[in-house]
Amino acid sequence: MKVIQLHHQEKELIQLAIESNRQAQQQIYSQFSAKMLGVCRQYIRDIHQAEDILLTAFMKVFTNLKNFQHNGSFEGWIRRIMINECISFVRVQKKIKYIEDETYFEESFNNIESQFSMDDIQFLIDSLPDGYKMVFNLYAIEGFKHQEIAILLGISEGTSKSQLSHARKMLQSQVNKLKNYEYGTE
Amino acid sequence: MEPNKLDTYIKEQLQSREIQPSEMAWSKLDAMLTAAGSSNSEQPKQKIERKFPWMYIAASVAGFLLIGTVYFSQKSNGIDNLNNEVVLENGITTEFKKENSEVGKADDQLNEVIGKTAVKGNILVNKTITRREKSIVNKSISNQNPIIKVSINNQKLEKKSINPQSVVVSVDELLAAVENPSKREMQSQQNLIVRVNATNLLSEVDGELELSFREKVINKVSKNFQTVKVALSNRNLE
Repeated sequence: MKVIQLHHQEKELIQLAIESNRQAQQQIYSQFSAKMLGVCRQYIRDIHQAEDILLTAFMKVFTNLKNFQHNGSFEGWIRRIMINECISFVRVQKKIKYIEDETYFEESFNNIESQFSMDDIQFLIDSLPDGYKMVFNLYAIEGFKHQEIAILLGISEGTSKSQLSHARKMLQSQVNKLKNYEYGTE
Repeated sequence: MEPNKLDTYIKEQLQSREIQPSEMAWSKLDAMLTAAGSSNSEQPKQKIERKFPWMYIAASVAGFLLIGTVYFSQKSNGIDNLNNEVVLENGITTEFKKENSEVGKADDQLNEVIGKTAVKGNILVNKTITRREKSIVNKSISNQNPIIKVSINNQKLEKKSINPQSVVVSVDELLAAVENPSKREMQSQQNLIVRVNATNLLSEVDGELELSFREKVINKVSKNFQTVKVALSNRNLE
């Protein structure tokens, strides 16, 4: 019952925001802005740039709110807009060149016993090259398939797989380095 | 490639992460939304403004067309009236021809002149020609003591007047003529009703050219009404 009630409330809120009700828009913004800035930060290293992208993406959210079909979750819809905005920003700003390398390793990296802080994880991701980072974020965190990633980034499926493989390998070596640093072996 | 432990660990950590945007962020977004809203509301106004020049152009074109049609129709009417007049004069002179030989000569001259006008088809030429015709007709009629005198009135329609002093007619004949008027007399009477003075008409046309559009339209309507009225009265007479 509570879920249905929340859904109705969300629907009403969206309807009000469609009618350019500024209070409703602000409510949506304050509800999702913190989470969505976290999403933007995954892709963009500079927090100020990430915030600018967040605002641009929210503008798109409010202007395209009438196109929201209420089929999936509202948060998922906003998240997708954020990701698209980040991808287009990175593509325009950095002009990433993906090496058409289709060799990848089916290795499992399961030796992560230690608990890393959020800053450590963000540091690990930021240390990745942009191409690796994009594919890793989309595949491992957002749950996209290689086919979808290939379409989104304009690369082949094989390239997406190889980029992920390289990203994982690099991350694992970084994790090992961090562990060694923590234990004072390095 | 299946997700491994590292992937799931990073995913769990990052999906629960929240970074609060700066306090100014909402005011920035608010300003952006306001700007977008105002630009959206201005767009229809601009569209409306764009519509107006086309409407003005269309209206002006329509106006020019209307003025043009009115102007040319007036011009053609003027020519028709002049031609009618010449024909009527011709009709009168043929009547006179039977009674007077000099009138016949004038009629010949008149026919020549009519031929010229038909070839030239110019208003100004018609104007001068009709004046000449009238003078010829008047001269010939006055020299030979005509039974019928045509008086040209510059302001009104021409009237056919019978000089009672020069006519010697018996009372019975006159009564018979009045009771049973011949067809030709009827036609001539009808023609007389329709006949228009050339100079008068030309002056009217000149005056009409100087009139405003509204006055032109009113004149045209009244003229048409008059012609319809005359036509109806003629039909009733028949």
